[in-house]
Amino acid sequence: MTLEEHIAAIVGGAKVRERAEAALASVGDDDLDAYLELDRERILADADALDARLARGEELPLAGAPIAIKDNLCQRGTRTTCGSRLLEEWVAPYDATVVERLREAGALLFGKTNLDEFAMGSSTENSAFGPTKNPKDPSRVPGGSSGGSAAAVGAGHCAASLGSDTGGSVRQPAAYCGVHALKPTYGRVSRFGLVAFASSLDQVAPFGATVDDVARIYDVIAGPDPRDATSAERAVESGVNALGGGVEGLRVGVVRPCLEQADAPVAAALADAAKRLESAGVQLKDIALEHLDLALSAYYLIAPAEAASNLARFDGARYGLRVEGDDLAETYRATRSRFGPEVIRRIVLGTYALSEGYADEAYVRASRARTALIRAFTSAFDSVDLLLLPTAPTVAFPLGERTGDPLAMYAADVFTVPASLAGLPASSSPVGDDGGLPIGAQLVGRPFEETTLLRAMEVLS
Amino acid sequence: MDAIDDATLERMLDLAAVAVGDDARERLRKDLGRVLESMEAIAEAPIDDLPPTYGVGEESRTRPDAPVAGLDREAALSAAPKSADDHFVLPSAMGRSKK
Repeated sequence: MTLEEHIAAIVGGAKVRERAEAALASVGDDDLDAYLELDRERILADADALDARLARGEELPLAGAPIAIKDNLCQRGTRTTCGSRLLEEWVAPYDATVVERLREAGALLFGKTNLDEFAMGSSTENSAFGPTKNPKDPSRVPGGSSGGSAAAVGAGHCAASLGSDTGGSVRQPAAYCGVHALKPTYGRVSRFGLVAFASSLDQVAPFGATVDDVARIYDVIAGPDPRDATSAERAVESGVNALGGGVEGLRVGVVRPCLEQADAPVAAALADAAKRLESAGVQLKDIALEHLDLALSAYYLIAPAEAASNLARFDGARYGLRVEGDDLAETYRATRSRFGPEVIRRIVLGTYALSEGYADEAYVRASRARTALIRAFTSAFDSVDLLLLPTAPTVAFPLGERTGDPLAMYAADVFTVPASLAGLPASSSPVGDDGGLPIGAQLVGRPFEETTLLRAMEVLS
Repeated sequence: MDAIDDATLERMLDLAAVAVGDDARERLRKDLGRVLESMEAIAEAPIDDLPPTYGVGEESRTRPDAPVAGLDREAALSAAPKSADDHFVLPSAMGRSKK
């Protein structure tokens, strides 16, 4: 059931508890492993409380809809593991701002979803608790790092979900699982209570089965937050109200080199998507965005550098796992050695990128490449309103296919990291399939023009 | 960018405060070498004159310089791996404690 359908059911007299029981039943005994925690008793108690709020006449825009939460977002009183052994038993003492806003809007916080450890990965296979499977084909990955949140919506367990997107971690799994996702502009949504991976890139983002569902969640979570100094002090235009506005007269740049780099079925689906936009009144133009070839390398120096700094806090002293050593330094080392292999790889790479003697040619140079890329986007947006490119070069790949090859895994992000580095809003929408495996189209917009993206997503859907 | 040699990897592991076994160390060295080699495009790009970008948000702002309530002691300590007498307990920084 979509979010829109859920709200209609509640308005028609259904109880949140009934809907919660149906949602729990839909998870049943499936083997997708989308959740790290699904606390039936707590969910049903919360459902009863929401029914009571509705009975008192409270206006609840989300009307008790079950919304799943990626397990790197703090939810008070609930374990927040980040898919890591280091936080396996850690219970969040407060709500993330986005979680707080969902509660206030009447969401039923459904379950905590699986992810690559500390959101580092593109397949959810880096979770310390095992991989999530793709709902369209359980022999394949759901994408990552927000694979659990994408699979939960793709399988129809919940009305919508939240993920986080650092280099494509909502867009790529949305493409692989055949659902919609919108990564807002950097600063549009508060990061307070999101366990930090790469602070200059991280954004909380919604998944939905429909564009309307994504817009409804976006409207609830977007907006300034005094607890996040990087959140933008800007009024938010309603995504829901923008829907139906059409795309007549918009200029969309088709990033041709990306289509040429993608697998043939992906390129063909994108060409069809471009035609749909054109039929709806869009003016198409081929764009060869400069410096795209630098994006993946820049990302895989900048994000690990920020991760190395952010993850220094996991030292076994203040929270989470502690593995005792003979002294403090040995305790740090013994504790931090429980990170998984990908997290260790990125921490070491990031440490290298920031170290004296290497920082100028690694981190600083990558940050110069970031400037080049931002300028290329700015230049492109002089002549177009949106960019269209594939979300990923391929459809979902088989479980285990890339776990031994980090470069092959990183390549799954090649089309999503550019918008992340530039802090731009970007979306993914299903636009076709290859043998039943979904293909996603990515739209990238100017800063804070999420509503333009939503209008175009609606035409693609 | 050069591949990582053993001495450099050892120093990075020490700085990052992580330890790995011999097999994992060799795999890590090879993986990092491949990743760094793949980044040659950055080394060769004509970007020397561009300023680095370290953040993309709008101008950062500060809150009023006034005290606000943080986590109370009980909530903070509830997450501590080890605590006693209302304090976090840490191993000795100078070697194993005699106590």
